[in-house]
Amino acid sequence: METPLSFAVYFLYFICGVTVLGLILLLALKLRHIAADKQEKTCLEKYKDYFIYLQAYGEEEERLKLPPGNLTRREKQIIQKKLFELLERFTGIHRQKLIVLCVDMGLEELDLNRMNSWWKWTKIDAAFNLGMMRSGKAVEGLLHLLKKSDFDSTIFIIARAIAKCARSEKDLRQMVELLAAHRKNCHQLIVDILGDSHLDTGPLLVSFLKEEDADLIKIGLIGLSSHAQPNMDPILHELVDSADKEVRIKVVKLLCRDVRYLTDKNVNLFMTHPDWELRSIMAKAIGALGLSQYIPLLKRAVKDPHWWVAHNSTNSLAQLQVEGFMALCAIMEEEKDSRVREMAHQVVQKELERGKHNLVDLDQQISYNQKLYFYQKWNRKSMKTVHALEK
Amino acid sequence: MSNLVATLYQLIEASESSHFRCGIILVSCKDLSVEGLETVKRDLAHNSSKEEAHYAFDQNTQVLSIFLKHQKLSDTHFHALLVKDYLQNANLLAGSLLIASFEECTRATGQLLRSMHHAVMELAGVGEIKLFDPQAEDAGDSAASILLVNHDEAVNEFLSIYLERKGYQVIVANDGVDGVQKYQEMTPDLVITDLNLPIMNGYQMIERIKHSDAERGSKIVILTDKRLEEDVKKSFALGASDYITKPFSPVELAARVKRLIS
Repeated sequence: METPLSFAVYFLYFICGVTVLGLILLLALKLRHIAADKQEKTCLEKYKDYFIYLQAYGEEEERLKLPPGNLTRREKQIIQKKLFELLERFTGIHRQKLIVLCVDMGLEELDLNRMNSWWKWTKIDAAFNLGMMRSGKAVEGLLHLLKKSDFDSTIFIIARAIAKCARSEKDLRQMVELLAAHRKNCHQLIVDILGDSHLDTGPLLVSFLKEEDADLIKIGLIGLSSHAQPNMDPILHELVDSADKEVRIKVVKLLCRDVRYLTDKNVNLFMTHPDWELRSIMAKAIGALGLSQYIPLLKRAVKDPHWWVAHNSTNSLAQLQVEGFMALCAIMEEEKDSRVREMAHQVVQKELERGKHNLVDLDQQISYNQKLYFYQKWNRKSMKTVHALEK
Repeated sequence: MSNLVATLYQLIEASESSHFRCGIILVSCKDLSVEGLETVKRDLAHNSSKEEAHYAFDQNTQVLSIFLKHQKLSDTHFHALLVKDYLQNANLLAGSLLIASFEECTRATGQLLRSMHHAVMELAGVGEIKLFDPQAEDAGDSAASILLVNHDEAVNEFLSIYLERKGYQVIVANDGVDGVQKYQEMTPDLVITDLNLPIMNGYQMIERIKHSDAERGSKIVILTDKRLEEDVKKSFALGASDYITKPFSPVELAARVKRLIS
């Protein structure tokens, strides 16, 4: 009859057995890893002279010759790894020649076949390799794989491979649409992936702005912040009234990067917009772009109920040379709201402090002296007022 | 004139009228009998049937020469890989290999062939493949020197091979301290450095170099993956002459190096 003690003993035997099996498995994996490492070192040593040959004649007209002798599959993979190391570091003819060599060695064919594997990780590895080889033949398969994949980190490996292999704008569009369909907030990453393509993505990004899908619009707007395109004003102005707040913010950010888009009408519109984010962006842009004609607008905006708008407006005034500084002094003198006065005072103090350490340039020195003069003038005046009130 | 040089010269003389391009491989071998040489010829011809090759072996110096008609340097180099593999497997390899190529084989003068013959006998190691540059030989010891400071071994290896092929003398350092030390030892014409370096970063190294050798002022090229304008600005402020970001085009780099050195 089974007693609890004998049951416990059997259980302990079982646990020991499992532990021993686990250790054997770990040891086997370790030995396998060491053997693979050794094999790799031997192979790299064997083809050391061949790699020197590859690196020495990368810019000759003729194709690079294949490694001498018959290569095993494992040797091909080790050589492929070394070729990828070089591919990642170079552009131009050297990269092209290495890609052609990969095709000549049958590495592209090998990975195209691996894309049909049952194992997900084999497919992902093959997708990565095909991306490295800029294989146009792989695009269809990669798009199919991306379509079938669930949302996890591997879809970005596939997407990057598609971007590298893309033959036309259409391939890139399909890839972006498939990624955007997951409705995850990864627009910046998608734009970064598009940057891996050798194609000009500017027209594609502009075309996203005409889409209904807010995610595609956001991708377009993020992408265009670093790929300026001409004649975008009509599309951007339509998007200022978008129902999606994030889109509105991104559009105004984009418009505020270029002074050509900032007409009087636009500046007034954005400075009085119901979204505080838009008012804040516009206030900041006036200072950054040095638009001193809008000082009166900024003077009004320092009284904005939203702190960020008031803060950016005061800081922008400080950026607008002596005129802006004078406006800040005027605010300190005329404004009744102590919160606004205090904010202006802090910015004035900061500006004077900064000016003290920045006197290398003669223009900067003159500007600082003028600011200091106005400040002292304002200070004397306010002191007189205080004394008069005291008497 | 040694037997080997004479044989090579005869081959060139015999075909002087055609002005064709040719490649020459010289390799130190173990003693080869006449039958042994015939076997080598037969086996190598079997391995690389396309090339028209002539073989000669000098018993005195034990140097095997292979004269390849219509072969560029790249083809000659590749042929040398096959030769090396074969000799190594046949246990006949005794030293290193020296290869050269001539646009017109009449340019391979007796003097150059003699220099090659001497050079192959003086080569250290076994199985190394060295390039013989006839132009450098003519120009003497006036190659411009480049110090390469990079932590990336693949880039170091590639640029050493590539720039040496372009006729520069390249010295490699793996970190900033090593870079400063090698700079002081050799005072190169140009320094190609990364900004991300262990022990002493690129900026610190440039400052040291500029401080230690303000008069000579070697040109400095930055080769880095840092793309921020702040890094570019700082590098130029410290005295860099050029700034290249990775991944880079070796052709473009070589053009910039040439402009700076000239």
